[in-house]
Amino acid sequence: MITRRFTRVDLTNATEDYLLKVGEEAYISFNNVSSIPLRIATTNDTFYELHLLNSNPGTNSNILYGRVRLFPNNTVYDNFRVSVIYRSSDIHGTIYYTSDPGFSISSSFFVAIAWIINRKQYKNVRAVSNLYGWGEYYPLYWEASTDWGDTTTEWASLGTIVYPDRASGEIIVRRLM
Amino acid sequence: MDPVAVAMLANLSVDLKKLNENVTQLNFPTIDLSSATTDYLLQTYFTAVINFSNATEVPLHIATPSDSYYELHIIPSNTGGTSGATNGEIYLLPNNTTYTNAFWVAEYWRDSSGFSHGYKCISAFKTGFAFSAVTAWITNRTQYKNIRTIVDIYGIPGSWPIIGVASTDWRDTTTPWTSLGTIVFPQNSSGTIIVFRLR
Repeated sequence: MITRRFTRVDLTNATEDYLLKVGEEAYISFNNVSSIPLRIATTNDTFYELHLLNSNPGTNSNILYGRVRLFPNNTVYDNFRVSVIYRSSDIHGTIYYTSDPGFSISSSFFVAIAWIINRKQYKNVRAVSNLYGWGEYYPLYWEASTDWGDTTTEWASLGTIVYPDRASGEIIVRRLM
Repeated sequence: MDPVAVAMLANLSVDLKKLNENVTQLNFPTIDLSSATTDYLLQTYFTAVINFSNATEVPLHIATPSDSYYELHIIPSNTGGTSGATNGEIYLLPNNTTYTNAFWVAEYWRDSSGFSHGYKCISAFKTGFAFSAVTAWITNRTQYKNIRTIVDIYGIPGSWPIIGVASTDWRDTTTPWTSLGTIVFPQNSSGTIIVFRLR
């Protein structure tokens, strides 16, 4: 039998960025925080797969509703373009923004897989997730794609994930290219 | 030397404790098929990388048997924006050919003007549209052949981004799928393709 493995690097307590190599995966555990710096240095022409698994109990009332974003370079910009399709308990809806402050990952609590492209001239995050933790969103199926409307800025630090409220869970980031 | 053997030698690490269980662990064995001229049989857990530049057709040069399964990524390098691409579909042609009206695709997407969906008959697997960042899962069983995709579409007016989801079934249960095929773009395109064989 053959198995493929990624070499794991635990960045839970990292204080500076680590340059993840192709074939490595970063692991980050977080507990009752609203902001999680990934501490991953990134370079032009890289590609990642991200898994985010909240550990908060399944519920529909434990968190303020709000979107969860990845802020590249640990900075808020104003030129992200977002397209979202979702299905909640009562409706099928969509969202489209052209001036959002970061990459849209999901909302409230969730489990997600996302693919991250870092090319200076084309920077994109696609995410598929299941939301829970607010209102009728238990579950809610969410598919999003965000393009950074900037084709010149260097993306040097993968960034910080920011919640609307405190959350707990784990993040795995695999570098695929 | 055969690139599969090179990758195995470069990445092989044997866990002695598990040797008796006949388990071998491989650290991301990768084969560059950018310049391949013949098909290679990608082994389970191996990765193929294909770089392409200003191309409308990209042969993957991957041999595929029945009962195999893959994850494919297209990571475009064309500049983000609302121009430069053509209003046309990206296809994967299995066995490097088209089969007239043998495929059906179910799809939906959200562009700047709203939500749309479709269900139609086509002649190859739909993989994307215009410029697309693509993640796809490919099932090759002779009796059931499918590709599911989630894409970001850009490069045409009114888009940037478009989130799109599609599933294409090849409605043929007897034809062997022996070559993973050729990606065909509606305009000159550049980027990288990564293929993981998972089964």
